[in-house]
Amino acid sequence: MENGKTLSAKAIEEEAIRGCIAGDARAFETLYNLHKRRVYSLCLRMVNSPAEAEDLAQEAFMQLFRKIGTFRGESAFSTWLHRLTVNIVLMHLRKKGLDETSLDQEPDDEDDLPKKEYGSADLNLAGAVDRVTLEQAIAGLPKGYRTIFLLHDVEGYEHNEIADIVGCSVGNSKSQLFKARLKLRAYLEAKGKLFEKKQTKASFKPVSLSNRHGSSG
Amino acid sequence: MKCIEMQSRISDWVDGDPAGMELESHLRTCQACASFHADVTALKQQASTLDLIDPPGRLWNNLRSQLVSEGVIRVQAEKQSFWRGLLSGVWIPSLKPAFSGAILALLFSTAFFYYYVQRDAQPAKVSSEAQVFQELRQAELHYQQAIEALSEVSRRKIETLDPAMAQILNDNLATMDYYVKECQNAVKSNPDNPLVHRYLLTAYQKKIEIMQSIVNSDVL
Repeated sequence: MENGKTLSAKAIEEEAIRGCIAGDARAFETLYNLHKRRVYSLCLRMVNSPAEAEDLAQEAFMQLFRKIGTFRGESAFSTWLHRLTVNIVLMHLRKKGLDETSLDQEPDDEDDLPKKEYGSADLNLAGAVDRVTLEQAIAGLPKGYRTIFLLHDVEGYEHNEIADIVGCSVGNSKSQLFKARLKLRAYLEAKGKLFEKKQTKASFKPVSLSNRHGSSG
Repeated sequence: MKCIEMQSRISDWVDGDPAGMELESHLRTCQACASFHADVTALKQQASTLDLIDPPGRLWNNLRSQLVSEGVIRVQAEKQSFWRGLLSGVWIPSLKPAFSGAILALLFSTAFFYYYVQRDAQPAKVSSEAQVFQELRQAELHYQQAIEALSEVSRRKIETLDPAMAQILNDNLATMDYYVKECQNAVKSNPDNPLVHRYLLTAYQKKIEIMQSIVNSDVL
């Protein structure tokens, strides 16, 4: 459901897109201001380097403005922009040959998974993980896991949208997200001080399946 | 079904997939998987609250320059003051030494111009030493008041910039402070030399112009 504010932002965005197509300098600045934080944040979290993130965000916006005439509105503009940004960052990472965990890799490589967590005690993460630690944990993920985790759990995209953005299957997106979560959990567990390992079998309460989780949208 | 397989399904369930009977019965009996469920739920919730990060201000300036240079956007020629144009150069860190050097070169050339023109063209003007010093002191006070008035505002403006940019501007202002100090020393050593008087006043004037550019510039 869209409220008035969202509609207004959407109207501003649409007008800015039309202005950009017409070559209006102010429209470019408007569109940049609407999306600069999300694009830069995504770049920064994906590459973990402010200087590289700045270059990549600039390249993403340059490509956006060069190609904006081809935007037909089949998908949300932000999805289009994110797909473009992710592709630029992934291309950059491929050129650098950094920690390779391919987005096309099937999730059957159990050697890549952390070993401890399957039978480990409850980490009781709720409210315990501060944002800085979580940022560090995300930064330590292999790029494939990191990309999917950022798009899904941070940016709020659905798996079908992610599949569209990064060019993989929905199943692959799900499995990469699962691996990312396992790794993050293992990292956070290693940070021991953040967790309260007080829960015992005696205090164990089964999960209520009526507690249906909504998607993040 | 092993816990690792169950946890994969739990991850999907947290994102909205249906649970199923097998998962339901497993979660009733398996503490490890119940813990995993709680952790993933917390992790997902916490991840969704991570802050967005503002890019540095120069990103738009660089982007805009590239858009203009590639002809993607056309901008009308803006009337830009000399000093604002000069100041915009310091966005590029590598131009910092050139920026400071250009200011000093300008000051020296101005001073030498006056030196040669006045030495050749000026008849011997006689004014008392006291009167010259009084005029110089008045001019100095005038400039110092202007600098004082601008310093707080420019300092606050610089504080809003990213640290690298702020460092460059502060370095440039410090260069002018150093130059003012050198000129003051030169006046003490050569009180009768009109050249060093002009050096000093020009240094004040240029510092004020830089501060005005910082305060007024919408680029910053």
